[in-house]
Amino acid sequence: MAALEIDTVSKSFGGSAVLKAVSLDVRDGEFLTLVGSSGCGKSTILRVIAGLEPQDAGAVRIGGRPVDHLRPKQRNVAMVFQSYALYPHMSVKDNIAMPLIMQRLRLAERLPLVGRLSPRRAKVMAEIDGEVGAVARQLHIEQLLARKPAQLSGGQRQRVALGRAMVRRPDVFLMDEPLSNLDAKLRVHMRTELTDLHRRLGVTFVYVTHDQVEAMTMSDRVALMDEGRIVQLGTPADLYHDPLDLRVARFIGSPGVNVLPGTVTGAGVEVGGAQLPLPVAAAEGAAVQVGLRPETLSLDPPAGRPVLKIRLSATENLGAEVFLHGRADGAGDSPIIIRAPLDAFDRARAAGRLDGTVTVAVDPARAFVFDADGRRVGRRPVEAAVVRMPVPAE
Amino acid sequence: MTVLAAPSTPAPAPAAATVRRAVQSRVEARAGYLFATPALVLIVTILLAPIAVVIALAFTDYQLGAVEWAWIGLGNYERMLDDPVFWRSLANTFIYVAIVVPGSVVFALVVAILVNERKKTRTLYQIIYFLPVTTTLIAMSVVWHFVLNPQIGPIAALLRSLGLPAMDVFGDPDLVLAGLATIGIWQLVGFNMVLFLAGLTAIPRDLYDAADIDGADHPWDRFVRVTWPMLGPTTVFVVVTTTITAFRVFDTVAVITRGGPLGRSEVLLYAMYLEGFQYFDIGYAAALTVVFLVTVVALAVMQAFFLDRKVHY
Amino acid sequence: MTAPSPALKPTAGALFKERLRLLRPDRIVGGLVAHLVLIAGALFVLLPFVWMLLTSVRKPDEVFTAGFNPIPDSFHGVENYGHALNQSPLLQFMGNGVIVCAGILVVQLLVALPAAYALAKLEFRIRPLLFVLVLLGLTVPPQVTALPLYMGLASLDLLDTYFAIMVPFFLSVFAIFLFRQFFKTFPMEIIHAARLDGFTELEILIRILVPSALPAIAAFSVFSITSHWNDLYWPLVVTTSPEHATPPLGMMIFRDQETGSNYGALMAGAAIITAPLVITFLIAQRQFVRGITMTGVK
Ligand SMILES: Nc1ncnc2c1ncn2[C@@H]1O[C@H](COP(=O)(O)OP(=O)(O)O)[C@@H](O)[C@H]1O
Ligand SMILES: [Mg+2]
Repeated sequence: MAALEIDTVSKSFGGSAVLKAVSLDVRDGEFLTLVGSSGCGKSTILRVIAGLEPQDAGAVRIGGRPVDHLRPKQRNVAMVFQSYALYPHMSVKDNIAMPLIMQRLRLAERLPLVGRLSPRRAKVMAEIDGEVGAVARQLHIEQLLARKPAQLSGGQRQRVALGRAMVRRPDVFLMDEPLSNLDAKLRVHMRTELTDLHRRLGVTFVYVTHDQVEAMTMSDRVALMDEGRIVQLGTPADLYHDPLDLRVARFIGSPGVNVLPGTVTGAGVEVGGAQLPLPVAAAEGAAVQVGLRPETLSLDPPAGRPVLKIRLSATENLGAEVFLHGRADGAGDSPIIIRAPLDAFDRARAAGRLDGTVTVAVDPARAFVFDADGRRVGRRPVEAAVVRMPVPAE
Repeated sequence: MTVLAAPSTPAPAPAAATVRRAVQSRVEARAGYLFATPALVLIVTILLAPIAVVIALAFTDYQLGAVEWAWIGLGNYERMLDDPVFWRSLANTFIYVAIVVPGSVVFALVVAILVNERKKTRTLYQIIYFLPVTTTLIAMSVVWHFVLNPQIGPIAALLRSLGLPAMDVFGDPDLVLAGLATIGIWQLVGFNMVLFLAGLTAIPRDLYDAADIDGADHPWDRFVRVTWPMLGPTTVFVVVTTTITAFRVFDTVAVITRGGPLGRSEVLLYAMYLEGFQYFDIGYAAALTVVFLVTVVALAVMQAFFLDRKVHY
Repeated sequence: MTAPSPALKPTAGALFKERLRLLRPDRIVGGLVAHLVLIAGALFVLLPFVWMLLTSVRKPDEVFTAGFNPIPDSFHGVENYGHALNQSPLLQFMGNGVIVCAGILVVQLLVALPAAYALAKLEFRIRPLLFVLVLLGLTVPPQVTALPLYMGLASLDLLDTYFAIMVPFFLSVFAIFLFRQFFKTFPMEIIHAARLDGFTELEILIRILVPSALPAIAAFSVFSITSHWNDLYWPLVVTTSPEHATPPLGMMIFRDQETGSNYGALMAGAAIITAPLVITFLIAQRQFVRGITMTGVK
């Protein structure tokens, strides 16, 4: 168990910078997720932490100790690969035992025949067998130990890869999109299994995914990456409700955030005719982008709040809630999605407020204002009690 | 609209389709026969019939140009059992194979592994090692004969300058097979290297990364725990194709040694050639051919068997 | 997020160590050893080529005294190459090689492409039998049929002709197999669409399948040409006069004329005969390697 520090690490491949001075502190025992679109450098960070790829500049420390001069095996990290990277010619048992065999037997003892001459080999192997068995029991794969990886299902392979990582009791678990090769149903199931595993082991996890749902549901904290930089680091709620960058707002949440063009006024921000009384650190008249989460737009009567007029184009009824698609009048005709609980939708329909256009109330406290470069400018601290984490839709 | 009209006339459609399908299958079958005919004719005339004739000839004492001949049953095979030339040729062929196969496979494996790690020089090395595969072996055999010439060849000169005795590789009964095998290895290494390189590039990089993290980062461990097992199918394939190629050694013998000295480089194909096309002892040559065919087919069957089992996983 | 604190600023010594580590001394040593091994192997592989070229420009008397001296004292290349080209009809041998290789390749393709299409995409009764014969044919080396084919050609009085040299290779079961595998992956929908458009089966083959198979045809051509340019056994059996001799046979004839006297010219001859394929290889190495190792995909 150990904390992990990544200190201004940079890395480029043949002239193109893949990591640009990335710094990141992972707390001891934390489940930290690196999320970002494909190609943003997530795997490269993991590979630098593991020592598979030397960084060009910067340092990595595990448990406060610099590890840059250490080989991968000396860093005491374990890695679960997207492809699982199981050795196809070895049984499940041998796959899991591999790190221990490499750790505990000397080169001569690992030789095919000569190795058996060593008196301590049998004892060490028996120990290893015991530990492999224990791990296999934890993962419920003890009946698979004799099989080859090709004879396993995707989910079983996944467990074997986890077993191989667990057996060595690493300080840090590194996982590179471990669920992306599984079908949707198994993926959801394995999410809870991995979080359970994290809780039981209490070890630091660095988890990489391009799937924001995985990031939101599994992590203690999430680091959102884009083009080799960490854009924002925070709890899932922070990233959802208090994005510091338009890229974060857009990446997190499904359906995605609505972004409307606005203008800074003396009293705050004007968007589609609605005046949002927000303190904005920008010159009056400046163009801004306003982010509104779909569930912050309310179909109920505005009760004095600012309103947006929306022309509706489609309605998706999901049972418990309804997505309304449309375009915002007066706000550049931007596409917009409203996410309404079924009862609110029914009330609005009964009241005849859904006749091709609808007027929705905006909660200024939950609107995000970004400048032209996508940086957050208007910010009002959100009270934790007010925040309700919505369950992300698949 | 036609789409809407379709359901009103459903009955004739399936019947018409059936007819159309029948017509189509007749057209297809006719084209099939037409297209396959040239190949079939050639398969019968220059492959099957000759094989049948060879098998039949092996039971006769036919000599080319002879007016009379007779069925002699297994006579040719009995003669083979007592023929020192046959046994010598067979033994020499196997010795040749036993040198060339491990030599060219191991050499090619080492070269492939080393070349695979090169970045800038990879293509250069690949071209160099592949060069012999593309060359006319006869011409290069003449060159090798000269290079290993005990009086005026560069190797002899090098040995002399080091104070060692010059070797007469192709004149020394004990060295001649090794000399021919050297040329065989020289010619095969590039071919096998390319096959191994294809096998190596197919190994996922993740496996080596996993091995690094698991602690198998010593070159020896990487080789025995990842590279070698992952190359299993490639290796079987390379070994069998090399064996078949080496088993058919002829060119170097015909050009350099003609079976000598003292018959120590007589090989199966060369014996077949001499009996058939120099002594015109057709019946006996046919029997030798049958032995040759059986061996090669056995090797091919072995290959199919191993490859089907995919060797490891 | 951490800002790098001043306390963590590396010292000069640590910086030097860091640099040294990034240079990866173990990799440099490993790379050096690898290069040494590869260069040693390359010397072995290149030795005959180098010696051939060097000797081909040496004076005859120098050949006998050169020893291990690689650099020729004087340039005698013009005389040696001239001698090789004049004393024996090397160019004619090569011309024969071109005729034989081209003839074989053309017939092989004409026979194999339709057969392969039939095997891959057409339904007819004896198709399975034909495929089994093709698979069996793959295992039979050409030397097996040499005896009866020789006798047949002799009885037809066709020995020592281009036809005799080419005929056993008109059928390439390997080509049939290879193209069949290739056509097999071709989408059936396109063929159906072509039939609906009124294409005949022959047009489908020529206009649709053959163009799609051009890479495979090119690769097979390389394979066929190198094998038959270099083949010795069969030309040796059926050819008696230099008139139809292929390059390898010509090389043997030339060698026997020059017994032990003019190594310079002999090496020049070897270089000339080897040159066409080697030069083609150097120009189109990727295609060449693919073609020759295609036997590796069966
Ligand atoms: N070994 C390498 N050589 C060259 N480019 C690489 C290498 N590894 C990764 N890259 C490049 O670096 C970028 C980031 O890759 P990666 O870290 O794998 O992204 P991801 O976030 O999808 O995991 C990509 O553009 C990729 O092409
Ligand atoms: Mg990745």
